[in-house]
Amino acid sequence: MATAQQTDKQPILSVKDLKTHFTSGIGKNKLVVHAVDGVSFDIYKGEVFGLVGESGCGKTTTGRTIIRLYEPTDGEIFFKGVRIGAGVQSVDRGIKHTRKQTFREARKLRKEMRVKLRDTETMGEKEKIKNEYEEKIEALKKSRDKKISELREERQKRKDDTKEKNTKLMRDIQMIFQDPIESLNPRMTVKEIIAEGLRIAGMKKEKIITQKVHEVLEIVGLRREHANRYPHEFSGGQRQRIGVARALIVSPDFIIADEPISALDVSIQAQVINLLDDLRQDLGLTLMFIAHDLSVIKYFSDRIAVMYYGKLVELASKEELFKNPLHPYTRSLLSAVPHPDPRYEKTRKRIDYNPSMHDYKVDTPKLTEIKDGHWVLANKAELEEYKQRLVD
Amino acid sequence: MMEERETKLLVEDLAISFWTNQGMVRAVRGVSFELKEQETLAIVGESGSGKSVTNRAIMGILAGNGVINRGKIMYDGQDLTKIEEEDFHRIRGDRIGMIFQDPMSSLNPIMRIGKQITEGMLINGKRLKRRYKQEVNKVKQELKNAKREKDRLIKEYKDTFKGPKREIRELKSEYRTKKKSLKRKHKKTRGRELKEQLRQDIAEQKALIPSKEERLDLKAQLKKDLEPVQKKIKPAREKFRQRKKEVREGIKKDWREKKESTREQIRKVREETEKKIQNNPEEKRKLRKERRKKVTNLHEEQRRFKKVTRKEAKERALKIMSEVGIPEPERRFRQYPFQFSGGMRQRIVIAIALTADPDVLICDEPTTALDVTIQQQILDLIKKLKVERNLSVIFITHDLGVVANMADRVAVMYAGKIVEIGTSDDIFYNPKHPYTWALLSSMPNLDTMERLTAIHGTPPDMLHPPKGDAFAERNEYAMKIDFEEEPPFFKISDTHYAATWLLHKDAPKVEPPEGLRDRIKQMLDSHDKEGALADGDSTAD
Repeated sequence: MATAQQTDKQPILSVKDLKTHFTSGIGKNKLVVHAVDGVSFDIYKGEVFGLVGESGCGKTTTGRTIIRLYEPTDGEIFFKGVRIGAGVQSVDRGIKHTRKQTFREARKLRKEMRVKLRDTETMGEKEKIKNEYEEKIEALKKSRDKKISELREERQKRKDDTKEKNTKLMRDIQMIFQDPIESLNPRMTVKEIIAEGLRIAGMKKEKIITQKVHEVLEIVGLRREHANRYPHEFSGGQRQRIGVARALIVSPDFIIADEPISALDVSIQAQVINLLDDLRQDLGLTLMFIAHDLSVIKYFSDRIAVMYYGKLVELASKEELFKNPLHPYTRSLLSAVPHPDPRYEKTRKRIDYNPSMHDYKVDTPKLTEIKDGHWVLANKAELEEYKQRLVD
Repeated sequence: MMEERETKLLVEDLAISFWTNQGMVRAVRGVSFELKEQETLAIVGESGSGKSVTNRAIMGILAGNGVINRGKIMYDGQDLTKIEEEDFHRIRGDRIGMIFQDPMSSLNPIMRIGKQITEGMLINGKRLKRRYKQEVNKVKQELKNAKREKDRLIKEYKDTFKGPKREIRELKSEYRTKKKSLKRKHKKTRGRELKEQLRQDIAEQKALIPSKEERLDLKAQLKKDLEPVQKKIKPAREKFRQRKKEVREGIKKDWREKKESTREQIRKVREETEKKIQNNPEEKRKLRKERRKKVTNLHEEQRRFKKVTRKEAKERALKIMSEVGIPEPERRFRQYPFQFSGGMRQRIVIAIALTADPDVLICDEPTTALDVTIQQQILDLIKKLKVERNLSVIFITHDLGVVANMADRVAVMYAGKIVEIGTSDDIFYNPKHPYTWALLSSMPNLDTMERLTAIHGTPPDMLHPPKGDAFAERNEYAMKIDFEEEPPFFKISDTHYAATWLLHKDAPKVEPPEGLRDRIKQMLDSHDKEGALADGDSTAD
């Protein structure tokens, strides 16, 4: 298995402090689900980036937010250096915060003024102090207005970036979905399914469309004759190949594969993994591979990020992660992977992870780089502990 | 150690098919295995290999269009394929429990968890009725057997002339469908051939129908045969009636006694309290409260003699819930399934399966819908329960990692047949069947670096099962004979069998693929090292 060329470290996709929240209900019934809550990572050109975590930890939401099936609540997504999505929550909060702070400061100044006014007696001096303080408050207000207008501008920019989808650029990101049965429209032929992306992209010449569909079908290991059939005529593995073909037709640079094999049979899984592996080597694709099966992730990806309840807890190259799992959740995840090896299984010890083991009351944790390319979510005390545990 | 254990469940040459619009789907085509006491047998295979169907047949819950063609399932001296639905109630759920794959769809969404757990206990909890059935059952069985014998003889007699007629009808309908499917250009030539064939077949069948004199003879013979059976039936019926009466009266008597004794006790309690109240009238209220409590307890006890009461069921349910690791069972008891996470729901399903104290537990992919971490918890739970409750477990899955974790013995199924069976050491360290090789090497483990060896192609269509070895088409080691004849089981060791022609003495020697060999070697080497260490530890202890 070839490793990605990491000599030119050009991030093709970078995600900064991404948050996606879902709200439901109003008033006292309002419920906010923090599906993704502050995730940052870079994906470099030509690599396979694995994202692991248990179900409900937000890994699929991350993928779907990147491709903009969901609106990000906060944070920014850059693809090839261009911002393709951004949330405004932090900007809104910034505006509110500046307003509140200025108000507080002004109140403080007024209080000071009143005290001083009480002490002085002559009218002239009183007038002087009054003027002095009013000027100060005026300046404060001015700086507040400037700040807010700046933030408003930023907000508008973010909104604009999010609103006008850069279709040309977004075409370079494609997604492979989890369930090959649910994700294909049963009333469309394979050709229609695959060509849909091209048609939306503006291709009108039927001849070219047919030719491209045939090309893509051959790339994914299906035959030309399959183009006119319907999805139900195919087996699970073949259906997933159709899903891959649909993603490939617009010749993307970056593919998000959302658990592409977890709905398939054991004997078919290897076929799809091999297919994806071939594709990325032949076409030079960059992949984000979302899965909950650690052995597949390890086999397939170059760098692995571990997610737990909306947050990245650890991010490292795969060798590093398996040699030096630092975060307790990563360790428990690793210990839970079943091996096809009975004697090992019988002696294996499982590590339980309990999130209440962390003491985050004093010091909130941050994703910190503990070693070159190895990031872990920890506060200062834990960081020291982890550093001692590092093995070279 | 293995041999000493008793056989709990024996499946012999079981074949099951399903009627569909397209024809008959042969889902299971001759499966034999045995489940020993307190062992875990894992059945591995991809979807459609017939592993679930086999186990549904054991539970007696095949779909309506399913037919058991041949074979038997022996449990507790009974053949489960033959017993009647009413008798099956006493086995299904009660003696053989089952955990289903999807915890979301196997629970009723609009029913509180508590009710779902206690439902089975309450329905099966009619103690007196049960006692009556148990005591009567043996005599009833005798009568039933005699009747069955009579029916069989009569049917045999009727079949001598009805059988060929039925055959003729079938031949005709077959001819019609065949004729329809003929292509136009063959219609004349092939059609004539078919008709000729039909005529011949019908003539053959007609010759089998007995003439009038023969039939008379047969009738006389039948009468002679029936005589001893008839003689048996009469006393059996008499005996059954008597037994029924006896048992009923016995039960009535016991119930009356119980009622009387309760009444007596209640009277005593009342008298005692009256006395106490006279002695110190200030505590009147408290004493009366005590009395009420005692009386209700006595009533409850009386009811418990008759059936499982709600209170009793709840007590047991709470106990089992805490046994399967559900925290705060009191609160959880009143909640609905949607308030539970996936792992917790699976625990509820396990709790329901355990309420009746089964001794065989069938787990149909219990962890496929769950995460690795939760999966591990559920597996640990099943293992713990197996030891505590002396269960024998059949574990169906397609995840080899899970198999390695759980199984004592492993059966690998493909296209409705077992292709390899052995202890888990046999299967994982010394696999012999090419399909097992392919399965083992198709999944990456944490050390795999080389390209995965995928199994190309898809499983065969079970509407038309292939002629020879079902796996031959996807097998790179397939020989000519694989396409022509089905391989028998070859014995490798006392515990290890595989059905592949590669083990025949005339076959060329074939080694498992290189990647797999390396992997096995690596595993064994690491164990040798660890084993040495572990031995050192154990001696130190």
